[in-house]
Amino acid sequence: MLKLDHIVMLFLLLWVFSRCKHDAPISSNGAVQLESDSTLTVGAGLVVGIHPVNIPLGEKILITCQNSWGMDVLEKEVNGSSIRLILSKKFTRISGMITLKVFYLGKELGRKQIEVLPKKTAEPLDAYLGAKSILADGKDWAMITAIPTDTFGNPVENHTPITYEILRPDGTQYEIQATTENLVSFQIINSLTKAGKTFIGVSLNGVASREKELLEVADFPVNFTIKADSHSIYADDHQFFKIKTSVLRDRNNNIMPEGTAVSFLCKEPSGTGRFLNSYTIDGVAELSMQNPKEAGTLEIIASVYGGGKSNVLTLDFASPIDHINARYEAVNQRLNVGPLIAQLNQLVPNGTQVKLVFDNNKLPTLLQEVVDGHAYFDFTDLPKGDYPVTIFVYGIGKKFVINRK
Amino acid sequence: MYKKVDKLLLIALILAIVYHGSALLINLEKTYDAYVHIFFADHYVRSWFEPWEYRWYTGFPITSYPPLSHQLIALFSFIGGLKFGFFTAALMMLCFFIVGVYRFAELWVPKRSAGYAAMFAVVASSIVQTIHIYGQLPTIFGISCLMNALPEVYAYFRTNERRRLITALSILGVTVASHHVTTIFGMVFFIVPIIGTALLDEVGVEDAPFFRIVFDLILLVFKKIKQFLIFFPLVIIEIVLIIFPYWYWSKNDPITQVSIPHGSRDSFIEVTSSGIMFFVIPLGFSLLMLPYVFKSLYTRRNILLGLSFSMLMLLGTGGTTPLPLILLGKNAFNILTLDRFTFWASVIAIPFIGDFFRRLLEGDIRLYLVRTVGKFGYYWTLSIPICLVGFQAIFITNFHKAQALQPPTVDIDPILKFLSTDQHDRWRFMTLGFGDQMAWLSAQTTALSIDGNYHSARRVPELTVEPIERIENSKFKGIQGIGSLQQFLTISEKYHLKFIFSNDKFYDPILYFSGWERLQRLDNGIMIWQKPDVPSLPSFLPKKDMPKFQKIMWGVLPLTAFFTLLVVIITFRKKYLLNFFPERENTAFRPQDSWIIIVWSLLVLVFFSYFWIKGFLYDPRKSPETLLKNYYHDLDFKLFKDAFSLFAPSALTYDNYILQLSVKDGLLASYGKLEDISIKVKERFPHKLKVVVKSNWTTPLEVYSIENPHTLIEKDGKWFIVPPEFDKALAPDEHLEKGILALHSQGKRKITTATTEHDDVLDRPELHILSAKLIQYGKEYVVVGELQNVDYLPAHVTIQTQLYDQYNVKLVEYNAKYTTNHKVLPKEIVPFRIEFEETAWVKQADVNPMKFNPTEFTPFEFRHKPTSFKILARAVVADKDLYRDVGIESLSFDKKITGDVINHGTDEVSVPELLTTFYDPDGSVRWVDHYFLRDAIRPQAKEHFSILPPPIAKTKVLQSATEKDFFINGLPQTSLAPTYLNTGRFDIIPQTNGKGFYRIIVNSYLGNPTIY
Repeated sequence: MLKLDHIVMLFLLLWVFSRCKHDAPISSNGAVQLESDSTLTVGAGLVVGIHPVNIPLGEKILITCQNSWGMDVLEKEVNGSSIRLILSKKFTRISGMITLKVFYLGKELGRKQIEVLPKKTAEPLDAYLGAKSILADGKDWAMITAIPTDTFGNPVENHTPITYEILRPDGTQYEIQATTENLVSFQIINSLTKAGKTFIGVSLNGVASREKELLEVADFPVNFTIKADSHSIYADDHQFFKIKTSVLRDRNNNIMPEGTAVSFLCKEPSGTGRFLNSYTIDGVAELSMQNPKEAGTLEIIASVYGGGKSNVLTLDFASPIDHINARYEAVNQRLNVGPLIAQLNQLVPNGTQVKLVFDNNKLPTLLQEVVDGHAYFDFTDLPKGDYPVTIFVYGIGKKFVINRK
Repeated sequence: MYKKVDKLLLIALILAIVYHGSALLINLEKTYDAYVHIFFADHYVRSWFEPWEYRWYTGFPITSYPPLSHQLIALFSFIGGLKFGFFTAALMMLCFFIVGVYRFAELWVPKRSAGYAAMFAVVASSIVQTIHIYGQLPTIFGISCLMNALPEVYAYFRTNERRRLITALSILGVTVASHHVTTIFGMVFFIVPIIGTALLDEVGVEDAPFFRIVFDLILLVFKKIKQFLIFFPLVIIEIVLIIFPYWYWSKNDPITQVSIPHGSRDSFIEVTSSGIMFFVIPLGFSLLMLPYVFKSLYTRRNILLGLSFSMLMLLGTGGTTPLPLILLGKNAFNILTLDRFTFWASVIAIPFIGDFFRRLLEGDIRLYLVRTVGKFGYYWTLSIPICLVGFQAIFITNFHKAQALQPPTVDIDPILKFLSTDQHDRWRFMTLGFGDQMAWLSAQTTALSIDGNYHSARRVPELTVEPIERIENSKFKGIQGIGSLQQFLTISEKYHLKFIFSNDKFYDPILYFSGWERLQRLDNGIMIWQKPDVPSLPSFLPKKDMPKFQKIMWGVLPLTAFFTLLVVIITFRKKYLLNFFPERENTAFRPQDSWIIIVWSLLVLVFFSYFWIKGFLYDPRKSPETLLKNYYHDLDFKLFKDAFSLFAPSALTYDNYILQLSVKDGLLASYGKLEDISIKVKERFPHKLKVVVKSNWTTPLEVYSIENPHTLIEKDGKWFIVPPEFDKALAPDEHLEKGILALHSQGKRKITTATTEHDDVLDRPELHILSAKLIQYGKEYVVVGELQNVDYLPAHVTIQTQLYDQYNVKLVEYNAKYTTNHKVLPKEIVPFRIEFEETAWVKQADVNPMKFNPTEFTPFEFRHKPTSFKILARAVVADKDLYRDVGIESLSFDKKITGDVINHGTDEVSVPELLTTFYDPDGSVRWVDHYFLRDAIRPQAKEHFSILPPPIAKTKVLQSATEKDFFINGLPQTSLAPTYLNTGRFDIIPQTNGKGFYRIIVNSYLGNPTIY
């Protein structure tokens, strides 16, 4: 049952609606007539005749020109019973309706609507692709968008057919038909599992876009292997050897992009560690690694975070020397360590470190580098006495007593 | 009454044009300030009535400097360009100065002496220094006008003629329009003594008793009170009105600035170089003439000018005694450059030196000398002061040859071309190592520089609070300067600073480790550095506008004052140069007093000769201490021949020594500046010492404290250093072959000048932040974390962190600086640590810190404790600085972390930086540190390092961030999850204490990368 207040409300609403006025239909019933083509193409000039004009000569009338982007107001002096108004191209660049109204002393004298039709789609057709690169994992996707417009940027009609032709990295080529909807047309391009370039062409009634390019790249790599290319078997802390990975590939067998970082973690025979880095070229990461300082096993593992890791590569190294020669030169008051002879009866490399530790621990450890097979420790300033020491080269130690006289 | 002007004035004018004109042609670009004034003039050329100058700092009002000299340069530049404008204005004002000296001198000495004074003024050391070393045109403008105004002021108070008042006011109007400081101090040190002297002359001072003179003087003041009431108010109105916008600016500009340390405030005994530059050179020959000047000034008539001269001399001694500080007060003492007082004192001395020469050449002193030492002796005596004056003029004119004032001239055309192409002027730029040529560059372009060369107008916060005139010369300012530069380089996007033109490789490591990259080397040898991912300047830049009437005043009134002066001088041209008062004979100095000058000059010469001979005969090998100090000094200044001469005889030859040094590169060898050394004797033996030298080096990145052991031996009473030992290791391979990654980003369209198209816009590489924590370390808050480039292209990353308090109010934001690698390869992981720095030396108490703490860090002062944070990481494609062939060997973690950094690639690493990451047991980052190695590493070579473990026990985790706190390229990280196959870490090592893991990577700066 309707309540009283509902009835009152209803009447009130009816009264409000009855007071509302519709805009008067656009007609030429005003004081003047506006004569021109009722349709024209964007960018074309527009000539409008306005008559009869019953306004004193020399007076000015205002003409408003409204299109979908806004309004321009023009002023025109009355110089006869009819006025010829020429609108330049700038008024007709936007497709849609143009409404011309004539005013004099604030009163509208007449109006006319003209439809501006878009031109043919301009070349090249606007097409946008994003993202420009995606993973070749069968899941990732990019979107191609086409916005066909005329030379003035006016969109084509809704449901205009658009053709997408696509060439994928695996060689397949196909075509997709679509239509514009609210100015644009778009297509999702799902990645395949083969890395490479996807090329896309978009066209509309013979008007084509530029070539669009989508890069499909490898995902994180799966496990891989490493091997030593060639290495000397001696822990001389001098020579370098190469470690190479197998070709790094993702789950879909795509080769990793250039520059993919690979970390190498090593455990040295002495228990110390190594952090080394490399990156892939043609899918292979290569690394120069120096022989360890001490004999033993060098363990290496490589990895790419988020992806795979390598096997643990173990390399055995032998000591390049089997004994240490040393003698104390009383004349020069120095210890001559050498000649240090390596595995092929050659001198150990220059720069090889010789460490001398005082067995009583009262004096600091001394370090010297080998030059031409010898390292010298100067004891000129050492007080007289016997000093038991241990000499270390390549991890091998030798006991010695310095008799400082 | 004289009918003619002394012809020496004409000779002086011709001499000034010939001598200064020819010298200025060479010296203009070598002076300190000429280009700055040219830049200001260029502003008026481009927009006369718009006082806002956008090109320096973040914009500044040109009303911060009196405009007339600049406006005149601008006017003349319409004829022949800016340099021509400067040249013409300088010569014009020099001539006016010489005329002024002549007229001023006539108040104190005879006309003929005034002619000699004009001659001396041409070569007076202070004038030559002001023009040819400082390029201080406004100072010359100011003093020229003041010198010309003084006789008119004197005459006005003597005669009460309106003509004199008009002339005096019109000249003072130009003075204030050119250099307000001269006007203000000129009132105290010149105009007041002149008025006093005029009154003394009127009452007569010769024979009357002292109290009578005082009484008469007071009476006279009351009699002339009307003149006082007319003159001083009019002058004050003039001072206020003509440069009113300047006073308005200086009163209203809210920027408080730290005063800039200036050598004129040094103690000249402690810093002798400052004493020479700011006291000895400006006085020059006048220093020898002090007895004559003082004796001439301290007479009854001249006493007021004498007091003024004495006061100026005293203030000019800077910080040598505490008196200037007491007299001026702390504020004025720290703001004023005190050499200006010496300059004014030297100008006061000119008339009396002119008088001395007149008497020496054609007066009583000549007669006395001829009578005393004979004609031959006289000529010898005469030749000494003439030669000294000539020598000082030539020496100061060519001072830049003895002491480089500016870096070698840079051809700026390639830079201008670079700025004008490809819209590079849409970003701000900065120059490094250009000296004042940066002002010349700015004058030639409309591109904006974040730096500037006019300290009074510094508006950028980083510049207003640090006592550094421009960032450009920051390396000379120790850590303060470098601190300012680092802050600019770290948050360069805030200022749209994208390009740096570097003329000094000292700055290269700072630029690299702050995330800058080398773009190209121009034809003129200038290296362009760029910071990727910096937004361009907005179309409209903010400016501080001023009322239109002030703009018109500024553009019109100074020139009006100048043209008024021209009209006045032309009107009174017949009487302008004539003196209508009786000649003043200087009788205070008697010829027989000449011995005082001779003795004084000898004392001065002996004083300086002592230091010179002492330096000449100095043998650094006389003691171990002097030996080591000189050795380190020689190393610091790369005087390797001198350093080698201190070595004990050994098998090491000089050629070999130089060769060994030439292959040594690194932060210390190539970029270090020695601060101080201390020597500790470890062991003593007969004729032998074992010492440890602790030396502190400032490098662009850090201050290093190095301890080096040395063995010193004594031989024949002289000490020598046992030569150092050089690296003996040999590289195993003769040739290295290696495939390397090369990348070139070139876009995808035809070459065009059109703006960016959609196809040109590259995708931003995708990043993934693995973990991050907000850590409290003492009073400091830092954010540490780790991110991975999960894209397929190398990325240049900018990592910004914002801290929030418990109410979610943003407290501060800052970027990662050194403690990260800004270039990240695909799938590479880099750590980062972000510290929140306050702009250094913000507090008033920190004003002018002359000594710095090397470990000084100014943490941001938090009003609220931060409780949460966001990380905004963004990336662009990187195609440079991708060297990765450096690793760590023999790594152990015990009490210290030790190991060797090995270079297994093909380039020398100039500055290796270790980035150490420490993880919690769950694998999340707990702490990140960086450590710069001091030595370079050649291919197949290694350098040992030993660093302290992290201060984890002293840190507290405030928040561990989750994915929602991370934003990548503007998008939440939650929307960008990478498709990890597994998240196990095989690139980290367990810590020996079992509390987590650690990892070390090396960020390598290559000073001279191989060009492929």
